[in-house]
Amino acid sequence: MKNIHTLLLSLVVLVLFPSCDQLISEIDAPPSEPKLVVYSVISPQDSVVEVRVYKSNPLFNKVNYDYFDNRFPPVTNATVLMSSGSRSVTIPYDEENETYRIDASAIDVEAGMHYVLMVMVPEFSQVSAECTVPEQAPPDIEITGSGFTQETGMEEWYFEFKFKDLPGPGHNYLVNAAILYYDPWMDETHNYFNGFKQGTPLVTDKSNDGGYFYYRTYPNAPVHVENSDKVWVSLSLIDEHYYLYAQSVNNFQDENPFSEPTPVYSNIDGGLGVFAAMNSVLKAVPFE
Amino acid sequence: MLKKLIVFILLIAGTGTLCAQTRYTLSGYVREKGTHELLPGVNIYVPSLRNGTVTNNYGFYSLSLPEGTCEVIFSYIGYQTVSYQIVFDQNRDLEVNLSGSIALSEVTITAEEITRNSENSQMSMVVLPVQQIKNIPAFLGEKDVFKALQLMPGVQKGSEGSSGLYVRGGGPDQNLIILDDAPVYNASHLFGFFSIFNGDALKSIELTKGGFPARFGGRLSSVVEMTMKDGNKTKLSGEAGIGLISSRLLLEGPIIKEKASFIVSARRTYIDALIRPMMPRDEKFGYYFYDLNAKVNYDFGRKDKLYLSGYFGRDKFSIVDRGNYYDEFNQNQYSTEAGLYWQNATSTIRWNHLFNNKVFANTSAIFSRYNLTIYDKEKDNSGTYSLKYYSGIRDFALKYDLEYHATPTYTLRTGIQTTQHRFTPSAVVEKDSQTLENFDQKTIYDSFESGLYAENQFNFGGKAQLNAGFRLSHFAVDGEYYLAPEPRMSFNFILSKGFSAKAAYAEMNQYIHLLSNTGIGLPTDLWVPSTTRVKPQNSRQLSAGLARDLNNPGLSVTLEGYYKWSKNILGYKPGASFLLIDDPSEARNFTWQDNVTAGKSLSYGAELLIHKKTGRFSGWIGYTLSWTKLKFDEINFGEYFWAKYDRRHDLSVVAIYEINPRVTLSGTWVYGTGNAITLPQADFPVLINNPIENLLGEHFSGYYYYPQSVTDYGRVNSYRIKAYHRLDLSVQFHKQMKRWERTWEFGLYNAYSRKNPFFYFIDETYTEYGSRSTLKQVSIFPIIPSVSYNIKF
Repeated sequence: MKNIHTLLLSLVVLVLFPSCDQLISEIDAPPSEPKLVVYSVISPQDSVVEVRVYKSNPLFNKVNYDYFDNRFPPVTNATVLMSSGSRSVTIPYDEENETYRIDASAIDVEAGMHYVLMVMVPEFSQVSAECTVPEQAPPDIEITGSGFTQETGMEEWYFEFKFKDLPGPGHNYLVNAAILYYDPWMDETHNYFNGFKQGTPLVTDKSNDGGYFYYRTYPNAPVHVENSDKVWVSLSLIDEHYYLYAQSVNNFQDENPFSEPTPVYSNIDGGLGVFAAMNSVLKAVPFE
Repeated sequence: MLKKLIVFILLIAGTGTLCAQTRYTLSGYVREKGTHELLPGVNIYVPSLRNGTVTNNYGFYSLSLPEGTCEVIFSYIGYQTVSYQIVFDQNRDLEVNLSGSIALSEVTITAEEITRNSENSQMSMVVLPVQQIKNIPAFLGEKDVFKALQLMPGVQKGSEGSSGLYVRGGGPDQNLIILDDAPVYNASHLFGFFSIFNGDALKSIELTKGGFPARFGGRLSSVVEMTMKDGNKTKLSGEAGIGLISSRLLLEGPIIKEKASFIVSARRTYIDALIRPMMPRDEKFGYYFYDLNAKVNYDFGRKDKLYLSGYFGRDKFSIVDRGNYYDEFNQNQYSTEAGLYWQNATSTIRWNHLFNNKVFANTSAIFSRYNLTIYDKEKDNSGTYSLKYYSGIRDFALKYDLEYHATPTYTLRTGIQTTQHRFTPSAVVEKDSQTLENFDQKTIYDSFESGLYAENQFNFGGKAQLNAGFRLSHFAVDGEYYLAPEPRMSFNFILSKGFSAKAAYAEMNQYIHLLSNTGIGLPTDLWVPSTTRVKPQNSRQLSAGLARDLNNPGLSVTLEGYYKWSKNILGYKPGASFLLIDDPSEARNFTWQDNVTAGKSLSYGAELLIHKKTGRFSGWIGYTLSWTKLKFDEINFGEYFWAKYDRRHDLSVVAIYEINPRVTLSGTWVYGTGNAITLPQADFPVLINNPIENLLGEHFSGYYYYPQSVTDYGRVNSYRIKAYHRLDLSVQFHKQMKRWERTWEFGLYNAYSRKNPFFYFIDETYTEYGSRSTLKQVSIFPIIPSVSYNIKF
């Protein structure tokens, strides 16, 4: 009886589990050349215009497994042109900041204006992108409440605010809160981003057209409150390109083989990355 | 337009009625000789009038004929054709018995007598004889209805070995799979490698891909209607088989001779039973599946018949691990029992009633349930932990169908169906004696789905047929109501003898959806209803084609083109995951509606089928040329992309040759364009801007220009994996023994051991200088021999 078991088992194993190595074969990967990666976000509120240029790293090439900076060194020999209407400017490379950088006055980033970016790098096809700075100013930030809370056992400060979506569809917003505080131990100014207990930094009016967006910050620790007098809130009206890009970067997942792929949005024609625009306001919220 | 159509239909119907003054009705049931099994789909043809009908699902037919003498022919694939000279001077009942179960090669019929595809208004329908399924080669010798259907044009398989059906660009969730009127929600065993239907207990299998009659509704892409055998009414008989992975047994026989009969068919795998004795006592794992079909019926006479049928099937995978572990001071014991099982159950009570020889009614009460359970019980000295995760769908339904064979030129079918669905996408009970964190959460949706339909079947003097129908579908969930009219029409115009042109239009709505991660039919896929946020899926399909019955008996050629556009198709947002198997307790945060997005799909293509159902040499060639693309606002940045199973070319060649009554050879060869996948191409850096930094003029360390690298996938599904092709062969040796007929079958799956792609992955190898990525393909089935032994008594 035992022999029959062994025989049948051998048969089943033979049939169901043939040598795994033979069933894995290498496939000629599709040819993939590096692409130019361009990143630039312009805003009328910024004092400089920056354009960062990199190359993508094709997966099926031999790569050095190294620090990020070494894997993606900035491309320094690009010709970067930005134009608006009849005005055009070449943006030079700034070695200190490892970016193409120019004073904002050279191009005048203005609300409602359309901008074209072209990047040329030897041995790469020219890439280009366009964006328009949102014409409207962001809505008012309305502070709706603030106070001290003992949620974590310590006395901490939080605040709440809201803003109303601008009339009409197609508005996307980026919201941030941060604090600058003096650290007496280190004798220097530190910065700290406030997370939101209610509300998310990136929102669209797609399902809340004309409605309010509500926010409440996570409480600030005593060290913040004792060494500063206010929190800053920024509200930016962002174009569709930046909304899609930031949302896709937030959603990016690399690990789960059972989840859907999460491609990152790009509006760079012929390349990767984003050229986008935003129009921002800043508001101070004093501790009270 | 619709009003005009209805007036036209009523006028035609009225005309037919007026002309039928001196006509008599011939009606009755057609049965298999010997077993008295009622036969659906039998062709009844009156050559002199070029008119005829077919028996319905319950073997009933009704035909009005003018006064006089006519020849009436009854024919059915695989059965001896019979013909009667009948004098029509009064209404007549004619019970017909066809000699059943004779070998296909012994059928001697003429082109006149066979079921003529060209004379039927229904198009895009495939009828597969069960015997043909049993003759074609099968993976590990397990005869599988769905894998046979995958060999038909317009029907594609998913990945290697999968039994899921992708019909005209639709997904496996868009198929209405009905077993004796009951919907089956997960038709897969062993992670999709086998379908739950083994064919032994089935009487008929019909697949409709387009031109859907109004009696069907609720899914977008296809209807697979299967009818179980009723059971031999005259003597006890059966079949049994032993294969490499499972064995099966079918028994059927009379309960009261000629009045009541039963059939029971069961199948079970036995790998677990073989392996278990060899595993250590404290570590055991196992997998098995089984299925069971059973049916009883009672024949009250010509007017009333009652059927009770049921299906139950289960897959179970389990692990038991017991042992000792040591801490600083003691030896401690631990035990783990974990596993998952999924099961389908359906049952149907049906009552056939004949009001008179023209009006036939069927009433069905239906139950169907599919559920998945994952359990985990852990125990050690520090305490106990238990988790139970459950998801499923359960239906109760009532259905009433009426057929009125008014005149030779007009038949009305009408009916109503209502189903109460209970969806449980997730129910979790978690108990932890250490943390005292107990969790009990259940999400339930109750909904009602209903349909009211009418089909008007016209025959225009043997020159053309029209089936004009209308279905009104309704769905109610959580105070939300959806009501949708679904016009259906199919038309057949006979160009010449045995040659016709067909066209059909059908609109369908689907109110229930399947959330799947892998598309390979894992039991973890979840059924969910349409809700206020998730709208019903809708499709419209236009098809047109030519059908030619050739003089060679049993050979038919069909060429069809289709164009299908769907909206509110369910897609998954980037990063969406519904796989709760890793950590079922994640179900507590499960918000599926946030992870899905609605879009549209467009499918079009052409299908050629050359089918020879009878003769010593039989089989078919099916070729599909097709395109399927999808568009979702939130996927691929709103641009069209190819569906994963978009397949430009799909070819199946099936050949069965009976060398002599003792030896049958068969082979299939399939070819399909590779699936479209999203392949990572490169890494690249992304940067995130934070305007507050620019506004404050402050560099936020560790955030501003914080570098992150992501993957460049190119466009969604823009890469094609290698084409799929495979040859299967089998040989059957039949021998009539003293008490039974035995068949040895030897098979080769993937005879030339083609390494077909199952999935691709990126393999990274490291050296002291860095890493290198290579693209690798995993194949799962090389050449696989099989052997099985079957008896029939």
